[in-house]
Amino acid sequence: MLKTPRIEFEEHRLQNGLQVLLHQDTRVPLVHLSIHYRVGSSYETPGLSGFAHLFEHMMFQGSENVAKNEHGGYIDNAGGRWNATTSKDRTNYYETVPSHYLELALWLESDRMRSLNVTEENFENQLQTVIEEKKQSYDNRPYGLATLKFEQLAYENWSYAHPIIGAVEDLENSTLEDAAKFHQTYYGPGNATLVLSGDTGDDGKALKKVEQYFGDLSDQTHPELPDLEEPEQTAEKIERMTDPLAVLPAVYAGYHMPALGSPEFYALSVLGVILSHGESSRLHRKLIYHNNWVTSLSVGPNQYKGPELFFIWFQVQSTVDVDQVLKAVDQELKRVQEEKIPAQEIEKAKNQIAFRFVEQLAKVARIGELLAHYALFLDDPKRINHELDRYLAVTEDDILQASQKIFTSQNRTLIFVEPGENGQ
Amino acid sequence: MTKKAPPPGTEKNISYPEIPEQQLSNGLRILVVPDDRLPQMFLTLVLPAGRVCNPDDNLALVSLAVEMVKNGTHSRSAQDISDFVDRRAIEYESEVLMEHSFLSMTFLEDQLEPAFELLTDMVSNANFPDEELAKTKVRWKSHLIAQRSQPNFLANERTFKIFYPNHPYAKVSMTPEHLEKTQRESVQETYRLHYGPGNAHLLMAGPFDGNRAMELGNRFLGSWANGETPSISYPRPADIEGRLVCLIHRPHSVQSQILVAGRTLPKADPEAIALKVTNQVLGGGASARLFLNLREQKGYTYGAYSRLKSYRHDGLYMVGASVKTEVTRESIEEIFKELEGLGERLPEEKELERCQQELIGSFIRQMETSASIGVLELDRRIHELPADFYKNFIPEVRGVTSEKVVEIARRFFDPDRVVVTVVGDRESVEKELRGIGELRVYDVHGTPL
Repeated sequence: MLKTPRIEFEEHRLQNGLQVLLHQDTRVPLVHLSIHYRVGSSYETPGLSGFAHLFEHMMFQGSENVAKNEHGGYIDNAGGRWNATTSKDRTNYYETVPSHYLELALWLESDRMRSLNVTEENFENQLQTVIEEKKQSYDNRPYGLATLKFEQLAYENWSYAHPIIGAVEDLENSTLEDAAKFHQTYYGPGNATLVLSGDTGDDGKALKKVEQYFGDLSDQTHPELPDLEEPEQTAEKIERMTDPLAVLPAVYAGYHMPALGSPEFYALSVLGVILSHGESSRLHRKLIYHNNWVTSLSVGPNQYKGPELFFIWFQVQSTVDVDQVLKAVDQELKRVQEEKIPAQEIEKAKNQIAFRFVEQLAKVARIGELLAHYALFLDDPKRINHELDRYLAVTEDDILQASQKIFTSQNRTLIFVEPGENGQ
Repeated sequence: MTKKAPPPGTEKNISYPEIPEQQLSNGLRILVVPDDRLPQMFLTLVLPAGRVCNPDDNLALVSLAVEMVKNGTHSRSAQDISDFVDRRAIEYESEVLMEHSFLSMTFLEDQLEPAFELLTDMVSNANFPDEELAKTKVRWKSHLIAQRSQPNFLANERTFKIFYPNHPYAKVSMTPEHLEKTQRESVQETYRLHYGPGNAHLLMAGPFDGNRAMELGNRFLGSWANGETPSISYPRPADIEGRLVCLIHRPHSVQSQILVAGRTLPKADPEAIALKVTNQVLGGGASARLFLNLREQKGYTYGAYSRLKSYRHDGLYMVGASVKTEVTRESIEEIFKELEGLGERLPEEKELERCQQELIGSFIRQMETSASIGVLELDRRIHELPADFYKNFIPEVRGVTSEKVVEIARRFFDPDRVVVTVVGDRESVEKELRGIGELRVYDVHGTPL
């Protein structure tokens, strides 16, 4: 039986509501600081799509004591690494620095949690940058527009349906005042989790330092939690698109499924591995190895906090009939609804999941991000030491029942992408 | 709350570990980076079989010889191998680079012996079944088609073709025709020539010590026999004088992918570290000149960076950015200005220190896992960098002066000796590119238009 390393950490809450997680690991003089704010694109309101991500850019445009671009400059001067990401459910800001720069990182993050100081000019500059980001990541990429379209079609609830990157017209209509309001609503200690992972200093001092920099912030946030409830889908949704940048056909399929942390989530995660991870997986064998019908495929639950989709994507060889491939996928899904998966196949998937889990624990940055993830998504950072057990406890019956529940045609959304004139 | 950034605490020293090399009697060199923090292990075999080893008329051979070792041995079928690795959660990856190939396995410690045994079987007993070769060819043909829809790939390929005519470094990618004509025998012959312990390195990182490593190495790979790595001749690469502009017409593009490249230095050149620092000033990150100008000041792009590509015999810098189509020309001009400025104004002390610290920080982060330390050490050995290269890396980086940066910039980052590649829609950008330098237009397949 595998001995998974236990991650020791402390959990505190400052008086102003800031959740603080501390994990000490001194083998390399590096420390990772990450702040996760409970706001993402699902918190946006119609007309301001993309704003949570645009706002993430604003957090680098200046605060009370830090000028535009100085945040990154300070961390670069220290030899650190920094960035930020926006998802549907949260926004995180992080820096991994040589540990003697820990206070610098705390100071920088506290300064921009306290106040923002963005000019009209800088707001406009980042708006243009984000529009180019959208082009680079979606509009100028094969399948980029279909990727954006897929969730818009699958989800009825606007909160998850609209893309994180937003619509250009919404971005262009947003203002500096919106940014000030957004900061006040969401960017305060009571709506955030701060994690320090790595060489955090002598025992007890890390928490004192966090208090020193964040303790005097008052919490003025008043976040409105988005209603993520997704109505039950009653009929299959199908759309066909032509993508002038694509050279091969592709299919996007999704089935609504229960949220992260539900029993079905673990069962369907194990199933995702059985279907598509590794060359011996069921769909890889059938669609790629034996028949060479598809060139690549991706299968499994997306990792959102709220209602999830069991996602299936594949790119089809130019000479192959797409419907025939989809039929083969359907047959495999039907099979898991009708026949229990043999024990050794489940064990193989669990071995792969355990391997991936241990792999995540090699770096302090990853450990820090995992702690924050469990704190935000499952309300319990201790999950880092128990989560793997939930995957390992999945039974053949769990997979059978979850499959029977979700793999119905009325619960499915499909997009067929045809290549344009460049197609082969 | 203080208005000024708090000063740093006391810096902790970090030292690059001793990584002794042991050799088996057949010549295989074994490196061990012990690490017992996690029950995870890495085995990486590096062979001196890169894309350059392909014959001129078939750029598919080395890649097929590397790919096909997992598709059958004398005692295992392709399906046996994939069942074996998936059941044991052994992550197997292979990659063919310019001058080397890597075969890597990552797994939990209880799989050490099975993984070692499989790796041995693959490198010494591969049997290249015809049926598997045929399947691989079909799969790869589609990937070749799909990669021609990616602007990054197109710009990169064109740049190497221009810098290295009739030179092995131009061997960027195979064609469908290469795949088509490849027979089992030629793949097998490539394998016979290039797979052998003589010039190979094996890295073992994770919870084991040097004695165990040698015992396993001897037991499994001790009787691995040598190939006959043929020598390759490297003619002098083309001299780039003036500016050449290559437009690759990718219909329906909504941005221009720009790549500006110039010649630099081979990997093991004594000035390689000064070159790294210089490149860092130009475009090493989000505080560097290119990013601050093209993104933070102008809003032309999501990001602009300069990267170094360095090999045994030569090197290039490559400045890349995906920009708004309507400012394609302005963006190229701004890149030229930054190249010019690099050779004209001494970096300020703070700017230089930042760039040095970025490189040092990145190095320290690589010290975090035994696998990434091992990869650095492999890189040092296969490129024959000095024994103390990484031991002295931090002081060497700190020793690069502003004057040295300007000297390096003048020698290499000259905006009048560059190849500019633009991938975009011809209708929108061709006019913009007139007058910058000699203009050549290609389609996505590389055919001149």
